[in-house]
Amino acid sequence: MGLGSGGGSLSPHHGSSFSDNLEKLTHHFPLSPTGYFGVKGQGGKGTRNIVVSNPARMAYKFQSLAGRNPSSTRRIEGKGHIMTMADGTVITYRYFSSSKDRSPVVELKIHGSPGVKTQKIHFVQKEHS
Amino acid sequence: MIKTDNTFKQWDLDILKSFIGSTVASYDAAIAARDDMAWQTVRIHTDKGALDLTNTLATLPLMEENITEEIGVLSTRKASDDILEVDEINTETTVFPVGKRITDISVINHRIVTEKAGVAVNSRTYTQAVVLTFDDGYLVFDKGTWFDETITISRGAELDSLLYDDESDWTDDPEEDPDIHYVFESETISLQ
Repeated sequence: MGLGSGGGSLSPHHGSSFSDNLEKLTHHFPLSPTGYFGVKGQGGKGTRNIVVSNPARMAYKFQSLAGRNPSSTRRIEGKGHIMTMADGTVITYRYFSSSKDRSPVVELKIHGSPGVKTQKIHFVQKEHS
Repeated sequence: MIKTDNTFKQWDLDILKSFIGSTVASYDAAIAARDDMAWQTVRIHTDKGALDLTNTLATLPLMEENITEEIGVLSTRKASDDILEVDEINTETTVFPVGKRITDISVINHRIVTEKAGVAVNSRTYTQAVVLTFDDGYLVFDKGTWFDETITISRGAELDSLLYDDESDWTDDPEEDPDIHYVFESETISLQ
């Protein structure tokens, strides 16, 4: 339902759906049969970790693939940006989280892609052996 | 067991209650996503003054003491009558006219108890939504999923269809977490 008149309406009528981008995304970032990316995080339900040697680059790549051709993008000053996809899925990219390692984060609030769950993904630095 | 309580306190409820009987002229929001997700704050303008509802991230234990996550926490305060300005996001504030009298305000609180191998390890209680009731329907401000830093705004006559389905975020997921069981509770407090 629309909310009224004004200049801020971001109705997701154009652009790609999240599901349109899923094939390329899962080619680079596999999706589990239960609908999650990465491995279970320690934060509990819906928190995931993708452990990589270059977290900032991989987080950027993930959100670029997931959010290709969005209906809208809003920059969040000093934090990242938030994208709306045509199917109503909302993707939030944060340069860093409040965790000790300040790992970058991509949040997926899924709408219309039943095979993928709403989740918050931390991109965590791989420990060098 | 770790317990956190981010429900509105009595002074928050008193602030909200003071607006029952007032007429909502409009509300302001910086729409960040879709056409209904406001970044952090919504300002409600009434003939008795203005009120801000804000959803900001707090670092809280989600499971065990040494494991934290950023979780959205709702708060409220009286505000100036000025148009809301949200500097953090690169969009203008939109003013949404309402023109309806508030007959009741309700606060919806949720509790999630996490049980690990049959033992309760975490209990988190929080305010999920604020509902303004008019003669002909509702205006709902809901904090959405646990990691959202937005407030989802919806208007209509069927309250259940306007609320975020938070319970579905806390269903058991035995294939991912075979030892974890979630107990979800919801209560609605009418301030009338």
